[in-house]
Amino acid sequence: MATDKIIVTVDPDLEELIPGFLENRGKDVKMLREALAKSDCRAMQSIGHSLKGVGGGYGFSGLSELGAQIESAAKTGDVQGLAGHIDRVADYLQRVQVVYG
Amino acid sequence: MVRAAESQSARWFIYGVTLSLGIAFSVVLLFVAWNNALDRNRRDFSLESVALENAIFGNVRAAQYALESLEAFLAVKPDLDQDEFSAIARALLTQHPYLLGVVYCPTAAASTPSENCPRGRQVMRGDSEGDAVPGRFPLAGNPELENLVARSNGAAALADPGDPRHTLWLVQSLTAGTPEGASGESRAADAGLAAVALGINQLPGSAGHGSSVSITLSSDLAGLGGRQPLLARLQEQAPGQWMVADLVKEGALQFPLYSIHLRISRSVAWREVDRDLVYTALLIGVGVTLLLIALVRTRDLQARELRERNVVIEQKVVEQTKELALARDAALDASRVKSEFLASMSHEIRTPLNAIIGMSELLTETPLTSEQKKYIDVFRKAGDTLLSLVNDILDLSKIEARQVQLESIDFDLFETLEESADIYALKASEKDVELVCRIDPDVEPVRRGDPARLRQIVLNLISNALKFTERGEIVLQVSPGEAGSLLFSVRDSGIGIPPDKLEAIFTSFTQVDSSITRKYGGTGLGLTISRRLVELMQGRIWVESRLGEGSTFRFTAELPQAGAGAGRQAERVELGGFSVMVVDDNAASLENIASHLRNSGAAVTGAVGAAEAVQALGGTAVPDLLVVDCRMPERGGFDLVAELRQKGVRCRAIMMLSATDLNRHISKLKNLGISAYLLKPVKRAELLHQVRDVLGGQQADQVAAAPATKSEERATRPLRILLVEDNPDNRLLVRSYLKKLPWEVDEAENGQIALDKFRNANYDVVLMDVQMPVMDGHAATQAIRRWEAEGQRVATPIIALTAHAIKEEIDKCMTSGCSAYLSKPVKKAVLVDAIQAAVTTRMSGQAASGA
Repeated sequence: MATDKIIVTVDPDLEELIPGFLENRGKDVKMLREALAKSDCRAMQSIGHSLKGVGGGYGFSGLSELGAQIESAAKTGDVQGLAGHIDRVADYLQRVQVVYG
Repeated sequence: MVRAAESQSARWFIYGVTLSLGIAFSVVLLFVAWNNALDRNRRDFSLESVALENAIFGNVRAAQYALESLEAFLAVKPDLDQDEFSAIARALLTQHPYLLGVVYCPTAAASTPSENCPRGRQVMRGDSEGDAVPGRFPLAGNPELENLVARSNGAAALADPGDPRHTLWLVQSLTAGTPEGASGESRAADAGLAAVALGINQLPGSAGHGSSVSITLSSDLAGLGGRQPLLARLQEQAPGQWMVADLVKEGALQFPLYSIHLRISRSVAWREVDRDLVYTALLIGVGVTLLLIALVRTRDLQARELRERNVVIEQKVVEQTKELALARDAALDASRVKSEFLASMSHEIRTPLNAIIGMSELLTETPLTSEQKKYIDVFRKAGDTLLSLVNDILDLSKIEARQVQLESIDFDLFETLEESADIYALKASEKDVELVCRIDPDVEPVRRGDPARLRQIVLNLISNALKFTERGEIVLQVSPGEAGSLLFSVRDSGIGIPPDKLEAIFTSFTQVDSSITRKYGGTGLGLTISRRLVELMQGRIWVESRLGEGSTFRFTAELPQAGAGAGRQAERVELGGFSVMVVDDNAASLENIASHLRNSGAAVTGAVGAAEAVQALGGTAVPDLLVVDCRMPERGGFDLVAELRQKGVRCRAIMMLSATDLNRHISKLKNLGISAYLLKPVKRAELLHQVRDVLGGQQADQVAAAPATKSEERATRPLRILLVEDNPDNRLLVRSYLKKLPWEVDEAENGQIALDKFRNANYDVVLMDVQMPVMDGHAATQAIRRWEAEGQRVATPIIALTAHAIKEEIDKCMTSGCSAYLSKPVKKAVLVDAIQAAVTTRMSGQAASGA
């Protein structure tokens, strides 16, 4: 995993929403990890779905993709893969950098 | 196979029965024929046997008589010498050729005839004459003879088994004494036996010469058991003959003490029988049997053929049914494809059109040069026209494809019509045309039918009327038609229609002349659609018109009354006891208002125009309520009221009627002491309620404002949007997109909550996310549409927000009832445009459709 930043361009109208958004996503990761520990695929599928739906609107298309992957992995019960996906989401959030324009 | 086996055994059974029947018949026939055949033989035999019998018995009888006469003779002359006896005997023998001999043996009563018969006289045929054989009495030693003698008074017929000549002896014991023996002394010493010998073989005489019969003779002695056989002669039979029948005759000759039995029988040979009859019978029998069997076989074959044919037919039927099913499915498919095509076309066309119209709207709000404004105007008008055209075409094609089914729900006719009139109220007042909605009081308000389509027709007619009328009035009227139907009419005082076009305007795309489209706009389809809809309502539509004077469009429709209690019942307002004066320059409007008030019990007087009103109110009688039209050409309503106030005319209440909202004139109204105002076109329910409230003692300083019409309301208040989305971040997103706009946004997390909120408030637009838990976008949209239909509400635009913008998904959205769709992620600009387009379409759709 590289440590370069992921640049995301966001509509300036949404500027005030971004901090809250990212905070919520962090909460999502936490919940994902908890669900993984319990092997609760249902919960992971639901969070993945939600990530998939929310990412694109704000401009975080990478997040949407990861969400989709989590959702499908949770559907098939691929616990191994899920762990990897969740890590990637955390990594994404770490590296993301928002640019307004 | 079981069936075959069963039928096999059944068949064998039938054949068997037939055969048996045939055989039985043959047998019976044969029997009858046989009997007939034997008849001849029987006859012959009968003749023969009778003759024979007669002969035999005759002879026996004669012999017996001979014996008796001999006995009598001997009784008279017992001392007969041989010569005399011989003479007598010979005479007898000659007379009776079958007699073989005559014998007389005088014996003492006491002694038995023993071998000694010393004084016996005997003459036998063939003997030499005069042979008196003293000595042996024939039959001596015969026990019966001894019996006879013992009885001393009897006769007997005895056979001598030892005699080869088959002789039957008739023996008579001679009684002693004659009846004339006066002395009564018995001459017992002269008793004896007399007998004649019958040659049995000679008995038949001439009749017995044929040997074609068997003869059996036997004698029966009284007192002795059993019969003694005398003669048994058998019929001669040719060897090798087939004997087929026996004919028998039996007879008996009865004498006092004995009887002779005769049995004559004949065996009939096959050869002698009338064979032809038998052969014929046999032939017929066999023939009939074969015939029966042939018949049965024919029937059998026919039945089999029928069965086979049935099987073939059944197969054919099954095949044809299959084909029909396929054809039907194909037809259904085709129809479905057509509907889908229509639906997707409708969607495909409207979406870019909405964009065009929406954009043009947005453009007009930006700073423009006058030239630009002109251009924009043009293409906005074009967009509007195009949209109307598309709507009309799709509507018409749906109707023509019989895809349109009229609803059958209960609705309030008054409300529907008044709403329709309302839509054009503003435009009418702008053009200074009076719009009146008159509903005949005889018409029951609650009806069953399709209010939306009815509204469509009425709107079309009003819109046309408005288009071609520059001044005057448009009167929408409903009255009872023939046989329970309703008669609607829209009368205008416009430019009129030339007589040769009165029918043609109902055909597609025909306007009165080509310049109309340019001048007046319109698609030319409105009346066509209206005609089709009216036809669907089992009515007809036509127009009466005079150039320059105006036109009256009339149509009938079957809208049966719905049961009491269905739909919204209009409250009955009682205005009995109140007097009202109505002032209006337009006679139709005046009459309309007056009739509503009268029907509620008020005493109404009318005045056409202000001047008349002033005159009427000059007297002392002042009405409780004064209803004044605001805009009257000669003198306006306000002026009139002012004047009346000056004159000191004090009514309990004054009400003002106006085509435009008098909100801005509240102060003026108050000053003039006007208690309330009503918007035209006047709605009956509103009118009555307001009148009641006003007369019920409303304060003069509180001006009761009429509820504004929906379109005006909407023009002055901010847009209300219902956002239905499960993800909180996305809700936040949309809200922030719209924050700069003066719109209210309500949120709902899922379809169920959305439905609840929708029902409890009025929204202008709904943004509906499709993928949601609990109740998704499709279900929620459907539920909303259903609820709208139930309440006959105008449909609110619903914009679907879907993450999968593929055809199937879009189709599903549209079929659920969405007005438009956007694919996620949605850009702010796109979202705002879509919302604006939706709202604009709705408003312009209400006002601009038609013609």
